Amino acid sequence: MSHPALFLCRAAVAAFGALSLSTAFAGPQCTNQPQSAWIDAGKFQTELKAQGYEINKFKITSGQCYEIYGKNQAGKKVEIYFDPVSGKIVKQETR
Amino acid sequence: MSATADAERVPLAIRLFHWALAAAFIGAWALEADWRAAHEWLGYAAAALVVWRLAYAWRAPADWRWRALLHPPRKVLRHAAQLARGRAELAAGYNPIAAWNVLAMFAMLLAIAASGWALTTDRYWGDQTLQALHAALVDLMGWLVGFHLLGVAVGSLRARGFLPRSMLDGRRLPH
Repeated sequence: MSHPALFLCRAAVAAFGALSLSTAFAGPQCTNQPQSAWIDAGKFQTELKAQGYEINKFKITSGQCYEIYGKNQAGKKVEIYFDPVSGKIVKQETR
Repeated sequence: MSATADAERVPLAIRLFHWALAAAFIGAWALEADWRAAHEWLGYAAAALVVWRLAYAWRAPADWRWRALLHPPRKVLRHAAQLARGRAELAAGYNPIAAWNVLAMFAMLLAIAASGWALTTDRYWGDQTLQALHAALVDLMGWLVGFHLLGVAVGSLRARGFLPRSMLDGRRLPH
């Protein structure tokens, strides 16, 4: 059957598939090191606060990052992914 | 071109709306991870387009008005039953299932945009529950889009033609 409707069926299946991937808010991959090599989460947050960050949310992502939602020194809302071993910023969104 | 032929076409405004909405949704979805500003504005653009469409439903030609969009559930069931037996009449406007599909997509887009906006506020910045809700609504929207495409495929078979063409040149096929 080479009906144009077949093309649409395929498109429908593709749409289902592609959009079902959207559930996982994909973030970056930050490290492959085991958690034992990571900076202590509490100490890390204290350090960020000392640098002037305000932390609203702190989490460990599926991509092995420390992620914060909060405000930077300028009071702007930020979402930042850190490498939990080096403490370096991997990805940052400012708003 | 005669006035009747003109009236039978899908209004240009509807066609532009359709593709702009599709582009805004797909664009916002694709740019979620790496281009947040564009993601947000495309989301608001989609919501604005939906609001325009709902307002247009009061002024549009008959087949695009509220009357054509709102079908009681018993008509939906009857249409589904007729469709299953291959006995549904061919008509050019929204069939009862398509109309609810369309309204559900509109509602979903408004809810997605509203939750997305809320996520930018101080109060919900980084809120995981709301993020999950926003993502779940997008997922549902994906199913609705898939169902829409499936409906277009079924319509194309019934009309023995390529239905999406009517959203390009406006020439309608009863399906």
